[in-house]
Amino acid sequence: MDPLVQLSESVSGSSGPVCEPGIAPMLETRELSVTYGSRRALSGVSLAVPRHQILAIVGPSGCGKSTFLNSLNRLTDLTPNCRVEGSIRVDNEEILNADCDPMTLRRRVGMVFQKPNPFPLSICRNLAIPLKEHGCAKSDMDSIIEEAISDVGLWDEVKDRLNAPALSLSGGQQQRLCIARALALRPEVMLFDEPCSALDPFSINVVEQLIASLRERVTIVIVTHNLAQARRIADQAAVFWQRDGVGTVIESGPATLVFGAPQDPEAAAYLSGHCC
Amino acid sequence: MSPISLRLSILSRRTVDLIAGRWFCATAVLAASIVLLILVFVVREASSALSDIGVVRFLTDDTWRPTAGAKASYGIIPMLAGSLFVTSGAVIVAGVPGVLSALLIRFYAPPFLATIHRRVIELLAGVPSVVFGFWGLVVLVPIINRLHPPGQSLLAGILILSLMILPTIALTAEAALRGVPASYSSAAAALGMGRWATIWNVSLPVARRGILAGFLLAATRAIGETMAVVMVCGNIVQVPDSLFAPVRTVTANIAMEMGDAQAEHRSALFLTGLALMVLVALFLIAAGGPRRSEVS
Repeated sequence: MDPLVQLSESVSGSSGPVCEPGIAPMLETRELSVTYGSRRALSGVSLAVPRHQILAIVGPSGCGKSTFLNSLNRLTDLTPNCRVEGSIRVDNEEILNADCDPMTLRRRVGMVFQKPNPFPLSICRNLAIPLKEHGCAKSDMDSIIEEAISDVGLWDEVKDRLNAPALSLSGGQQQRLCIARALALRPEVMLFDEPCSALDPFSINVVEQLIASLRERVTIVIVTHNLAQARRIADQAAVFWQRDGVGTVIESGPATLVFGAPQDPEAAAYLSGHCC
Repeated sequence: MSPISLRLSILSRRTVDLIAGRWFCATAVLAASIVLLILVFVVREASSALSDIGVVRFLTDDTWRPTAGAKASYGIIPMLAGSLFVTSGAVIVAGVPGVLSALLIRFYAPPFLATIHRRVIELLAGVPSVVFGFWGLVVLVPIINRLHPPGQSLLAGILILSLMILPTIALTAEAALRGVPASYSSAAAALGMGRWATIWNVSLPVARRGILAGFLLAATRAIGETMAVVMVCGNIVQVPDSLFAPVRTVTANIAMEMGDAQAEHRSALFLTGLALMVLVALFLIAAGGPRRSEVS
């Protein structure tokens, strides 16, 4: 089937990324809007990410990309006066309902921040603390920690100094440790908020390949300013834009279409590097 | 802008910096030299006791009886013990509620309650020590007397001092917790960790050094406190054998005896004061040391 036809068929009204017909997306938002006090930061965001795919979110600064990401694991709860409206479904379960426990949700929806933020404790404690908090048995702890650190390719670098301070690692290693820390909790979705923008070029490469490889296990949403990176790793893509001071999605769909044949003129200009 | 006026403005800025630098330097030297002068004065006054009586007798005589003529004795160990017991007891008693109230302000109380609580603690810090002593004497001492006479005791001193140093501990702990970068708490939240787990596993370990430094600052305040201690501690020179035993601290001893002390006695009192200053200096070094290593 022609991908364009598939796109227009599967979405009614909005232009969200498509899924195989009949298969529910892992993550789906509908008419999502976020306000801080009286200021609306995000409006009418409807996106969907199929299981084991990577959604890359691009767009200029201040158009609500991070706000969108923070609403997906309800980190927005921590901001006073922040209100999230609309619908967010993780594995077909509405997470904006009052009976959804944010602590459990955040175990299922892991997050990695722009600046590596390991706790200033030992490498091992960084993983052990959240595991313990989520009721991991002491006997399983060591093997889960080893597995998670191996999964991010850090095991050989740190296996002899698991009790060394996490802050003694390099920036790229710290970021991989943060990814391992989230992975250890066996999340279903991982959110990355510009995970490479504070790293050196070599580390960017390592972390990018790591994220791309993680799609076999988790569904991923990544905010990035690096368009080339988005092109390389994304299955789905969305361009956020500020319209009348409010962030919204102006282009979304399979990455090949968004990057190859964007419909929105502003998105087209942005993606070809001819604006801002 | 013409080149000439540009040059003038740079010159004048340089002059301002020069004057400001000299002025700050002068005030800093003045402040430091006053401390040094006090130290020199105390050492000079204590020197005759040091040379005539000797450090050994201060440390080995079993009691303090400087006015007994030929049978005079100058043991300061019981009073140093009194000071240290009162101080460490107060830090232990005030430590837990102090840190808990910092946690309340920082993590649990809604903003208006946190502000009120902080104001109350700051008010507590502003209560004059003689008022604490007076309250202790008429309220606390009779209660302790009913439990175990005489009432004026090590326990009374510990409780009154703990009230006095509680603000120091609470406010320094709160500042230390405020200094924990927000990125750690958002990391913890994003990992689905609850508030208490975040506090216990992340915030407190990160703020530990600042909190301990606050304990040591509180200890320096407690060990130097005089008035309230004179009023509630009973002032008997002895190494206390229980919480209910009266004690005399070094500061209380100086306050009570300095008025009519002569010659050797007077010099001996200065020596006890010097001993106290050395102790406080050690506390301050201990309080400052960890903070330096935290930077590195």
